[in-house]
Amino acid sequence: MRKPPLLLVLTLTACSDSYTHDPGPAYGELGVGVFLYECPTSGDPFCDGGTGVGDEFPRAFALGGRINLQYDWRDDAEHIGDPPPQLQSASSSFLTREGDGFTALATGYAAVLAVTGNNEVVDLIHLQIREVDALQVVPAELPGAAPLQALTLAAGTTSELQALAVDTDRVLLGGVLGHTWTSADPEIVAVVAGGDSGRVRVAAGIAGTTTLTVAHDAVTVQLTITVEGETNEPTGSSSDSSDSSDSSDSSGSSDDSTGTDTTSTGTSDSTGSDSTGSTGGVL
Amino acid sequence: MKRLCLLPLLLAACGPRYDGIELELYSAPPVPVRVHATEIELSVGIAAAIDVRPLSSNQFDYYESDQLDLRSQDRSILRVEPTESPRRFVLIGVAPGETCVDIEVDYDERGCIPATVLAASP
Repeated sequence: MRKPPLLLVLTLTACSDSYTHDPGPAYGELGVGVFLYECPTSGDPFCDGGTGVGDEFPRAFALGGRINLQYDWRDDAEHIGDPPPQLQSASSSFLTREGDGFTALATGYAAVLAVTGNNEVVDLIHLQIREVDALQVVPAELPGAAPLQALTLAAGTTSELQALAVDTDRVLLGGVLGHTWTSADPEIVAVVAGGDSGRVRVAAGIAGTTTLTVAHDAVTVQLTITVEGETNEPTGSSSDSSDSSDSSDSSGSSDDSTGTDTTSTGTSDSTGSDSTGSTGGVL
Repeated sequence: MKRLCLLPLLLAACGPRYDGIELELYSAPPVPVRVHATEIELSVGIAAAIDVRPLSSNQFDYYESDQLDLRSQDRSILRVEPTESPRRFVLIGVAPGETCVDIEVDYDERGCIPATVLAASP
């Protein structure tokens, strides 16, 4: 009499096999292969090495963002060696094809189809497109770090900064977006590279405090930057970022920074934990 | 001679007799879709894979090798695309509007399923 319940428990545990899900790629909804997120330019924090295939597939994408995807058959025995399928947008009112990628035109869900040479849909995935609610700025080498509110740089050094786009839930958005970076006082902090992308290099000039404004359309964030130490002219493209950006410990690192603080939107320590964000850029 | 004439008739009588189709959602789109033999409804931008099964009213069932096709009457509203499986199709909401999905089984037209593509809710 006791055996059947015991067997039942054993059977149930056998069924609840621990399944490890690889968070990197996004499995196609027809279960054939995987969709991969590609970073066509450096400065996209979804790709660790700058360009190439992202380590993670974004949960959502920025409205207006440029989205590059790849499809991989993975272990699908029936297709190994087959040419990769073409990726198509289900509706051009959501995602329009531009060159190698897509541009997100409207918020909502948009399907991307993997289509073979003989016009068969082998797989598909839905991308969620969200409006950019706020921008955050983090040290470029630490895309998962808490957003910076203020930054202290030593005069004569350079530092690389990364803008991240997040939605209202503070989810980091994928897709390459254009940004503008403006220093209120280029004598103190000058933008020396990447001013129209998500990643920028700034150079610390003379001592003082100024604000750096990052904008994407109407969404902006301001970062207070204090330059300390000997007065120097901004140093062009020298990349001695060795200790420069490390002095960037956010919030109240320097006293002056609080006065002019212009923290703005994206500074809250977002849940954004999921590190990598959206934007791209060329440095 | 008579026997020879009867043979094709007998063979024809042994096949399935079309009695409608059954649609079943195969994929799980992020927003609800309605897929039924009498109605299809989905939103713009959404794609849904469905399995289609022709039903027979006699004792002979359709084989997977029996021809079956679904075609949208207006692909600018709704696309119906084949997959590698002959009984699986993907419905794609292209633009808001109404159309009909033609059913063809064994090369015979079997009517159409009214389909509505809804504007996406933001």
